[in-house]
Amino acid sequence: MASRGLVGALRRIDPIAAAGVLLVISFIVIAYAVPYSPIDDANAHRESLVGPGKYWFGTDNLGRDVFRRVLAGARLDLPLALSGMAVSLILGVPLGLLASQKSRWAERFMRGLDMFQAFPLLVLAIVLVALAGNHLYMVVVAIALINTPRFIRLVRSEALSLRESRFVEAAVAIGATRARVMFRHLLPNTTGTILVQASLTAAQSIVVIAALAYLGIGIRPPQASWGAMIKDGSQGITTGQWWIAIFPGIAVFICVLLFNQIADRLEKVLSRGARG
Amino acid sequence: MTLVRLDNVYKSFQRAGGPVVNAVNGVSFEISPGETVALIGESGSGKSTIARLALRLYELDAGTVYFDGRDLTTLSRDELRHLRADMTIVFQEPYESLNPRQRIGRTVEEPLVIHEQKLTAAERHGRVVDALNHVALGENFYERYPHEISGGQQQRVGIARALVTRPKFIVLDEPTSSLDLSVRAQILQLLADLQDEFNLAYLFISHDIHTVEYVSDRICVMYLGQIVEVGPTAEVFANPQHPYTQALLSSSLSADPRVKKERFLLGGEIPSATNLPPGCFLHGRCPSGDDACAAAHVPLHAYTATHAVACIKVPWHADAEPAS
Repeated sequence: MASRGLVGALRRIDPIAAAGVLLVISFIVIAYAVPYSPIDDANAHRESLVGPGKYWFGTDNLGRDVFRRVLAGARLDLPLALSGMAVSLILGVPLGLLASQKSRWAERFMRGLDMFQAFPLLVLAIVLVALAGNHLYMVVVAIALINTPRFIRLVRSEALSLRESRFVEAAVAIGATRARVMFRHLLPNTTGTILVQASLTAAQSIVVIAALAYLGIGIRPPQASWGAMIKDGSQGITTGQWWIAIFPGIAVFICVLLFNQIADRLEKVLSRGARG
Repeated sequence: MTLVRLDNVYKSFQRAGGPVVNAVNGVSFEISPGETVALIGESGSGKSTIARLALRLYELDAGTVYFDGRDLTTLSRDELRHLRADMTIVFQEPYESLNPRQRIGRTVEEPLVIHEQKLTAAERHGRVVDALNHVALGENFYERYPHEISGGQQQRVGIARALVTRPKFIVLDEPTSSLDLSVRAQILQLLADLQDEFNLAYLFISHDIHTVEYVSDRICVMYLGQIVEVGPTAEVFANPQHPYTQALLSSSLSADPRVKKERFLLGGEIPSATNLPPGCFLHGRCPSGDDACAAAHVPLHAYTATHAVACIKVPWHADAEPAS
C-alpha cells in the first residue's frame, strides 16, 4: 500500500518530486550511456582550457577530460550513496522504533549503540575491509555503519515523544499490538524527520565515499569518483587550475540539492493528512 | 450484578529523582451494566488516573480491578488486549486522541481489524459506516483527516471508534470539557442515546458538577486520590454529607443570577499528593475538623443504604458497623 500510495501520490500531486527522482535516475543512466574508459583517457590530452570546445570542463593534471570524468563519477557515486542510505534506512528505522519501547532490552541496546558510536567508524570500516576484502559493497557497509545509528537515535527520540501522545494511548486502549502501534501509529508520524535525514544521509554519503576512496576502499583510481576528483583537484586550486575540483564539486552540490528537494516534496505529499 | 469493580486500588508515580506522587490511595467502587457512575473532583484528585486503572492502561500498585468477572490484574498482555473489544475509553482531547495521519474511516475501522479478524473488508466497511451513522457523522466523513473536521465531530469519531466493537463498558474521561456548550449538550445527548440502545456502562470523569448531575446515576466524589462520598446522584446533590462535597456543590453557580447561595468555603489549599497529611486528608481545611480527624483516617462508611461517606462526623447507618 505504501509504495502504491507513494508513487501514485507523486504522479498526481507532486510533479516536482517526480521530476527530481527522474533527474537523479537520468543522471545515472547518462553516466552509463556515455562511454568512458579512464585508462584510454589518461595522458591523451594536455590542453587545460576551459570553455566550449573539445573539453567543456578542461582536463586534469593527467590530461583527462574533466567533463567526462564528472559524468562517469555518477556511475558509482550515486548508486553507492543511495544504496548506503537505503540500507541505513531499512535497518535504522525499525530498530529505532523497537528501541523506543520501555524495556530493559531497549535500554541495553541503546547503551551498546553508545559504545559502538564511540568507536571511530572509519577505522572500523578499514578493519572490515582488511577482514572481508576490498569489495565495492564494502562502501555500502561503511555508509550503513555510520548512518544506521543516526537513524536509530533519530527515530527513537521521535517515537519516544509520540508515545506520550493521546492517539498512541488510544491505540493501546483499543487493543493494538505493539507492532501495530509502531508501524501504524508511530512510523507514519515520523516520516517527515526520516525523509529529511535520508536526504542528508545520501548527500553526506558522497563525501564518505570520497574519504573511503582516499583510503583505497571501494572506488579505486583511476575509476572516477567526485570525492576523489575534488581531493585531487584541490591541490591545483592554489596554482590556478580551479576547474579540476570545481566541476565535480558542482555535481555534488546539484545532487545534494536534488536529494533535499525530493525529500522536502515527499514530506509535503505524505503530510497532506497532517496539520502544518 | 456488577460489570466493573475496583477494589482498594492504589497508584503512585515517580519521576526519575523526583518525589513520589500518590495519585490514587485506596479507591473502591463498582459499576453495573447500563449504569453511569460519575467521578468528580478537582484537578489532581486522581480522576484520570482511575480512568486508566479501570482499564488497566496503567499497572496498579495494589488492589484489584474486575471486569465482567475477570481479574484484570492477573491477565496476560494478550488476554487483556482481547478484552479491549469490550471495554474502552473516550478521551478529553478529541484532536490529540486521533492519529493525524489516519483517515477517519481507518481510525474507526481499526478496532475491528484488531478484534474481529473474520470480517471481510465489506463487512468491516458496513460496520464502520454504521458506527459513523450512530454518532451522526455519515459515510462522507470516511475519507477525511482529523484536522479537516470540527472538535465536536472529532469527539464523535472518538465515540464511534469506541462503539464499533460493541463494548459493554466505556470510560469517558472528561469527554465534553474541551467542547463548546452547544456541542457539549449534543454529545451528552448522543452518549445517553447510545447507552440506552446498547446498554452501555459508563465511567464518566468530570470536574463539572452540572454535567455530572445531568448524566450520572451514581456519583463518586474524589479528594486527593480517595473517594470521600459516594451515592445516587440525586441523593448526594440533595443531601451532601462530606464537608468536601458540600464545598464542591456550593462552589457551583446557579443558572439564575438572582439566587443568593450560601457559600460553604474550605480554608487553605489542597495538600500536595507527594506529602499526604495524616488522618483525614481534609482535616486542616475543614471547618469542623478537630484532633480526632487528624488522628485517624476514616474509611467510607454507610450513611444510608445506598449512600456512603468518609467522614468521622457523619453518623453511621443503623445497619452498618463502624470499621475498626
